[in-house]
Amino acid sequence: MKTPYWNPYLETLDPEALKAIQLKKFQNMISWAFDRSPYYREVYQQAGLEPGDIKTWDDVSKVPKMDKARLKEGQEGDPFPYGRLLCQPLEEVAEFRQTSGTTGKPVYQADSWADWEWWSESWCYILWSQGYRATDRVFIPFGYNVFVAFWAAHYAVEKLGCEVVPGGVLDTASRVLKMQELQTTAMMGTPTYLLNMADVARNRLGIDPETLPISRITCAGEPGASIPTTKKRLEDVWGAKVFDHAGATEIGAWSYECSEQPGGLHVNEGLFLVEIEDVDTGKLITEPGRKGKMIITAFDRFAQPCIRFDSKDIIEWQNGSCTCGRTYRLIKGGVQGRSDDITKVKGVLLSPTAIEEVVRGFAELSDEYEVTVERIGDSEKITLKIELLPSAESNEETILGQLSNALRLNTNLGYAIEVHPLGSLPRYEVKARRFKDLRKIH
Amino acid sequence: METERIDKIRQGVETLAQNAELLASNADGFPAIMQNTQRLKACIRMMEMALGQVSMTTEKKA
Repeated sequence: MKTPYWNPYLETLDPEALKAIQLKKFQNMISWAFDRSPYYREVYQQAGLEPGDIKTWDDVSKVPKMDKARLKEGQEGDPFPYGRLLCQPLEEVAEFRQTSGTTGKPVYQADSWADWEWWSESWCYILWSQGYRATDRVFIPFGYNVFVAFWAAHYAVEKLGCEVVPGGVLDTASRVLKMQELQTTAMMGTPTYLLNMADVARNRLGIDPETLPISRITCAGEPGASIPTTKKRLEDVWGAKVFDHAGATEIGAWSYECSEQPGGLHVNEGLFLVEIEDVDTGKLITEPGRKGKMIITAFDRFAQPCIRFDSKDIIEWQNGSCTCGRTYRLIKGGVQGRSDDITKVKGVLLSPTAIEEVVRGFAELSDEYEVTVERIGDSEKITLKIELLPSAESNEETILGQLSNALRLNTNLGYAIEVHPLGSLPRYEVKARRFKDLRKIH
Repeated sequence: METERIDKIRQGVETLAQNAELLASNADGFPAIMQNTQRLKACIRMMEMALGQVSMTTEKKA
């Protein structure tokens, strides 16, 4: 099939027609949750909301938002372990997954068989738009477990007709060797892990990753693949096109970077409603160029719905349309961080991704770095720990000066830069935690 | 895409959905038909979704 679209109907639909579908589906989801989930019904009734109240787009924002804390609260009680959030009988639940629980008790996610189909279907939009086709042999270096991560990608790869190679419990070196043995053409992972994998290939196995026939890589889990300097590192080291996508356990795979790589991600608006809310005022942002946090609804996930979920992801609408022909709107630069992580230091708003963009732009530095913010007396100190590559050691002073200037230019803040021996900073297998705000601890 | 073609696809999906419901309603005590029908219905739901429709298919396990 020659079409660049997985869904030539929805992906190119006139925006007004798409909005009409979205409203109809939103209304349906509200009725579904109200009728079937005791928790949603309770929340909506407390807000004085009945399903019939959602008549126009102006009514959408009347629907109470959900967040992780509310989801956890809704999971108290029966039926175990999904509680009052569940919209279908327990016997219709086909799949269990959970969030990582890095911020406390995890949220358990129930999916029916149709929901599980929906997961892989939403991934088909991603992979098709990035050029995956039946001739691809796709390696998935992922520890198939209770976290959703690349499970749905696995089944989407099958659905597209590609050949899937599950990387499962293999260690990183074995995965690289398997990719070499099978001459796999595409793969997926977090930017952190894929950089780590390249490091293992080159420095432990003596294999130049660029010599492997990987032609495309799809990233998830971290903003890295939308940060130009990190994307470039990945593309250079693997000799492949690197694409981003964004998704989450409680939401689904809601956005994707198409093969035109327009500097942003398409929101899959046939399957999701994305709203952007001003972090300070709570008002909706509809115009491009203003950052806010994402409030998202999945239209077709039924066992445990996702309705106006406050994901804490910071995004902004991108101006203009994409040359790929999709009418789905773009979010500029992908997910730019989390509202939890964006913090004020010395009165200036600091986003960890802004630091990554600078650090990864210096070829003389390794892939790893760490940032700590601490309070010392009445002042605040930001420390950036980096590793210099051996070839750059003789030029340390100049490089540190350039790095310091670039950081100040990009973030309006000064940093204490510490050089650590190569290989001494923590390496991460999946999601990295490179930004540590110690002010919240002490 | 042309409206006429979409309408034809829509009709085809609707027929599939009706047949799947018919199968399911006669499949009590026949797990091999019931469970495969459930999977079929999940695929039909994906097609309804692809056409921007609110799904009318329901789930039921043997």
